[in-house]
Amino acid sequence: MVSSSSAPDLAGLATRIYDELLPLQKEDSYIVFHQNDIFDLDIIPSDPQGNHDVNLALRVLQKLTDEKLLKVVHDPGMGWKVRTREEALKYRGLTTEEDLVYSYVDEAEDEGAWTKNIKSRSNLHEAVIQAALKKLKSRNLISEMKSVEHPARKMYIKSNLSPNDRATGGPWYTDGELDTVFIDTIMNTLFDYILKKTFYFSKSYGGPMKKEPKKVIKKMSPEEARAKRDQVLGAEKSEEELDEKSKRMKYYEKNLPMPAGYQAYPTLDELTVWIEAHKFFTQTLTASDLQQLLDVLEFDDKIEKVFIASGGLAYRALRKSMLNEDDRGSVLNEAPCGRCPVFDLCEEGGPVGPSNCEYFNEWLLL
Amino acid sequence: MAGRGRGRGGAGAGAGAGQLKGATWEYDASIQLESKPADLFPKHPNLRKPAPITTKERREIDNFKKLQDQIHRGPLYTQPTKRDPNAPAKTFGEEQFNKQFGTNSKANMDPFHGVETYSMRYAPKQRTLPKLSDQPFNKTLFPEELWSTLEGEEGQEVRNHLNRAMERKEAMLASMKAAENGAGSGAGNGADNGADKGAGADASAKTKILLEKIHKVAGDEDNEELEEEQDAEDVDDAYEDEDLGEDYNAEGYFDDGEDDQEDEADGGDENY
Amino acid sequence: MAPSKNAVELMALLVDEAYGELTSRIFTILLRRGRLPIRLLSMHTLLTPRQLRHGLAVLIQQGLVYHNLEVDTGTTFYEANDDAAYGLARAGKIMDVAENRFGPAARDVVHKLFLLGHCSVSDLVTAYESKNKDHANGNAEGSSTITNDVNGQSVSPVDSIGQLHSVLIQLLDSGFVEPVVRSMFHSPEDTHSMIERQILQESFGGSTKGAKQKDELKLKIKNRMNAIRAEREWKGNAKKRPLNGEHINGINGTNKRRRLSNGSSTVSGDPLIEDDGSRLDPTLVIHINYEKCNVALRNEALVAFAKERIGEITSLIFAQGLAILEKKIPRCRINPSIDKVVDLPDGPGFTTKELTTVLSKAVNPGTGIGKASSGEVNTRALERLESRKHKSEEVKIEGDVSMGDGPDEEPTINGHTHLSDIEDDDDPFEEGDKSNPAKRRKLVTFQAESSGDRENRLELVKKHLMLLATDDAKFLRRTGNNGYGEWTCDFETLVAKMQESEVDALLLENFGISGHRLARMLRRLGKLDEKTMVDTAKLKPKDIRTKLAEMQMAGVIDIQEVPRDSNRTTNRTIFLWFFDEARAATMVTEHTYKAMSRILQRLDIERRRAHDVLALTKRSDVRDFDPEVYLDANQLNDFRAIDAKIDNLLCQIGRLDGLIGLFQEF
Repeated sequence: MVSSSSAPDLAGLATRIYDELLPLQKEDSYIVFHQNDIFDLDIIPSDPQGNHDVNLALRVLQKLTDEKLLKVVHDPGMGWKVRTREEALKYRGLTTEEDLVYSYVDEAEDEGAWTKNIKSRSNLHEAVIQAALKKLKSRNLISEMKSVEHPARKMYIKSNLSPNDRATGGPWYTDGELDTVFIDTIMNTLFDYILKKTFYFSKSYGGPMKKEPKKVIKKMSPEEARAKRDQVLGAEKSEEELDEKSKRMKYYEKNLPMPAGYQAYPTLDELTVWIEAHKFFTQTLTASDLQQLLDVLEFDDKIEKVFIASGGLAYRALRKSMLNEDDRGSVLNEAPCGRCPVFDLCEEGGPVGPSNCEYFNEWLLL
Repeated sequence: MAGRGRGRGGAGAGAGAGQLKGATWEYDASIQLESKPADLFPKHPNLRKPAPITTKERREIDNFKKLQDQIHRGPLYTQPTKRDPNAPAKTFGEEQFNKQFGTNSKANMDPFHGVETYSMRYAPKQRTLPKLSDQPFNKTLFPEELWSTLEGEEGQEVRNHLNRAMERKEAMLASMKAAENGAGSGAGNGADNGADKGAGADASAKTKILLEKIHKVAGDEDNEELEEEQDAEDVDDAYEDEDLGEDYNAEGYFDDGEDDQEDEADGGDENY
Repeated sequence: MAPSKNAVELMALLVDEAYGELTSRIFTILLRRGRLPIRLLSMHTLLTPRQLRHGLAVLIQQGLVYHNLEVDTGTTFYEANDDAAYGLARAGKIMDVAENRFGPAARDVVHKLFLLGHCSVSDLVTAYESKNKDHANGNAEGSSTITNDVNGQSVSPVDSIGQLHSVLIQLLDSGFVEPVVRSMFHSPEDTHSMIERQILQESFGGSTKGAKQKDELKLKIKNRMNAIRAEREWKGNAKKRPLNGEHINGINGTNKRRRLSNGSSTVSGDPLIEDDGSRLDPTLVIHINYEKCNVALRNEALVAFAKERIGEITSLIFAQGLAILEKKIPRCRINPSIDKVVDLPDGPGFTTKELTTVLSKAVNPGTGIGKASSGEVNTRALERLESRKHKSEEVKIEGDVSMGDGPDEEPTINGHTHLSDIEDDDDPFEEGDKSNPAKRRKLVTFQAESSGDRENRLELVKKHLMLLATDDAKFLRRTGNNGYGEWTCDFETLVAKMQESEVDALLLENFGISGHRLARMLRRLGKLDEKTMVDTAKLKPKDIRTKLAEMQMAGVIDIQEVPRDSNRTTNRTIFLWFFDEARAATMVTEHTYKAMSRILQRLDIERRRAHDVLALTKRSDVRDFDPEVYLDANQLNDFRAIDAKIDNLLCQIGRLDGLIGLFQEF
């Protein structure tokens, strides 16, 4: 080891190192500097054989750490992160205990620190920790946070950070609560887009036949004709509704499927880009965010996956998803028995049975 | 989990289902589960108008109704003998099952409405035994013990008695040409009647009175003669003319239940 | 499997509806108690042996009761045939099936067979003869002959005995009607034990020793059962009159034949069956074959499903394909104790060509599919994918999917899907990609005359078939390339998918969007804990809990406890929720049975409440006339009201029966 001619300028070296590191840290907040990184800056002088002056380096770094400009982290092995000068200021004037507590909260970053963890790691007394937390809070250094993952835990986070996705639950949570309204809005937006891209609306489609076969008219036997007339005469009220429904069904039938092997169904990428481009939502939604909602739409039986030639997956809407609820209900629920609240009790001769059934009374008059 | 089995049937929300096996959450008093009907008929969650009958369904229903109508007119159908005509619908609970049927509808006859009246003469005939003679059977496909039933050999003696009675009736009828004449053949004459409706009204009124007399005679005699015969009434049903006879039966065989009883394997408790 | 309580109740009601009280009392006790001799029946029914003998005669005649004489004891046992009893609910549908396929005459014949039960050809002839005579005499019908006429005026759809024979042959050939043999009157169990006894005597000297002999016995029984069934199959041994050698199997071809001068009641456009001179053996005894009818009903259900998932035109083409298969399928479900389970890779199939040939000209395959520019369609990739999937599943593909073998190879594979012939003028897509030679060739074909048209039609039909094959429900599976593509239908998986869809519809309605979502999630992902469900279903934990509890109470889903260690405390236990498809299906079935019973009971009540007016229409003097003619205004209103109610209730029965079919028979 070669001794230097003069005493090293610790303060100068420290400033130079700090000024080099700070921009790097700002560029990437996750970066951690190690001993080699410090030497690579070529600020700490080395001997002609290229040996670094480890001792000097340690002294410089210790000085920066003391000034709270550097923070020691274990990442694995010892490393440092850089604080801004304002940040460093906050650390000054803290007691050792407060400093320790603050550093745990700091280290936890955007995940937040659980008080129980602070206690077990610091080995401080509960009262000391509470006092420290109170002080830190009053100085606006830390704030309480809620984690979606662990709603019961008392957690703290540095005031200038916001909780990460795991704690907030990602874009789907607002204030720690699942934002179902938001979710439904996006799902509907996605679904509408997929639906539009799934079917071909044919204005001219009028049914399977080239022309109305005359058979339909001729075939009606007298009873059928009568039955039909009865239906009209007997149920005038229903006619309008019936018409509405048949209109609806006609429209529905005009939505034709695309041919097998159709490649232009929307893919996840297409949907992601489209959502982003149209700025429907202030939040940025990633492909994996949207994937989750597409999965839900699949569970809801509104869309399904299709394999396309590019080897990817695309989505198309299911035909029945166009029907409203009345038109797609189960046959079993048409009669009152389907969802009868007292069906288990229903037995002729019992208190509730077909002969005194009020639901049937009402239903038969519908 | 397997303990619940499939046998639970129905919607399965039976009484025991209240305890939730794996409550992974704290008890939350605010959660309300739909249970305990306060009223007999709590509000129904969705009474909705069924989808209109399609033309296909219309055909199927018409087919069904027409078939059912034909079967009911045909020889194999047996009318209900419900003791209480106003009783609610049929029960098939193990206990009450047999009790709901009368063993003899005549014994429970309503004296005011049960008697055949003139206006009821076109009502479809009530039958408690199928009229096997009106249907072709391939005897060999049936178990041997039913052959005599199919051939109508059963109660041959009864028939002989009846034949004698019928002969007397016919002798009296021979002088008249009445529309109801063909009745004994077993072929119903609904349409006949329909055709004769207007013109034959007078004639049939007279005939009716006469026939009633005849039946009185025949009935009384038969009654005496057949007292020890089993199931005489049923034989009558099977072999007797269908448009006549309700009053005739009523007078003739109100003791019929006892006859039946002799035939019961276990004596039966008839008098519930 | 013994029928459930709900099923027993329903069947008793059905028998009661059809044949009245006496028969249903007997039938109910037989269903409940199993096989019984008359003596014990009498004890349980409180009916006299005489009444029982009459009732049993009717039940046997209608195929509702099996009988078997035990030779050792000399006792005859009776046993309920629940399949046949349930078939009563389907009578209306089965008649419609017959009419759709073979015209009104066939419906009329089936109607009569329902009335008569099993009967010989000569009995049937007599029934028709006596009716026609009535007509000839200007006489209305007699009470016991079976009539089908309204107002006593319209002419029976069957207008000659010769035609009757032809209709019967059609029905026999198609399997909807089958010859009756004595062995059918024994219940399957009785037949089985009888054969077992016989074979034991013949081949094993009375009893078997060891597992090997037992297996041998089983196989022999199965072979014998199979042989017995094969024996009674209709072999088409109708006698034809000389000089009339025309073949009898044409179904649609019959249109061409000369019409009988008195065949005026037949309607143009309907398939017609006329006397072709064939005569059946008059002693042949026949009845309706429910097994085969179920195949037809299943096809109808599948077509409706295809319409729901894909579209109307495609479903019609599918219907035609299924109609071809129908001829080759005697029953919906294989009976493991009779059928040899053969590992055939593919069931019966059809080719695109076959289908197109018989497809009704009224169906225009050029419509019903959306238009896409050629660049947007890639069927080659589809087929590659298909074959890859098959290989990975190690399914041997017959005829191989590789391209280019056989003269029927389609002219273009890639990019031929531009439907320029669609009768649709609102094509939003620009015609592009003229450089594709394959496509140009295609366009030329469009202009070509008849042969090109035919080829074009084939291509169009094929597109629909491909849609069916690529749908998630897998309506069809491609098995080869001959005849523009060979197809088969894997009914079992398809029906399973349909059941699933039906259960889903119920879940959605009964438990809302969230319940539907959770149940489907559990079905797809298996057992899940609550936390995973929150993450995946995007529902609030509290809502999920409430919903899961609600569904558990209803028995739709259940929970499994997995202890994490030997202390079985709650907080050391993982709770996994799961959805039991089979149980859900059972619940639907049972609920449906019960609902059908209630509707039938209500029907009875409604009829009784409207007894006064209904009695009027049943009067023997007017029952053959239209109630409009003889009822006064008030009565007519009452009558219409009750008639509409009856129709509504019967309509529900029919729809619910669709569920029973789906979950029990198809």
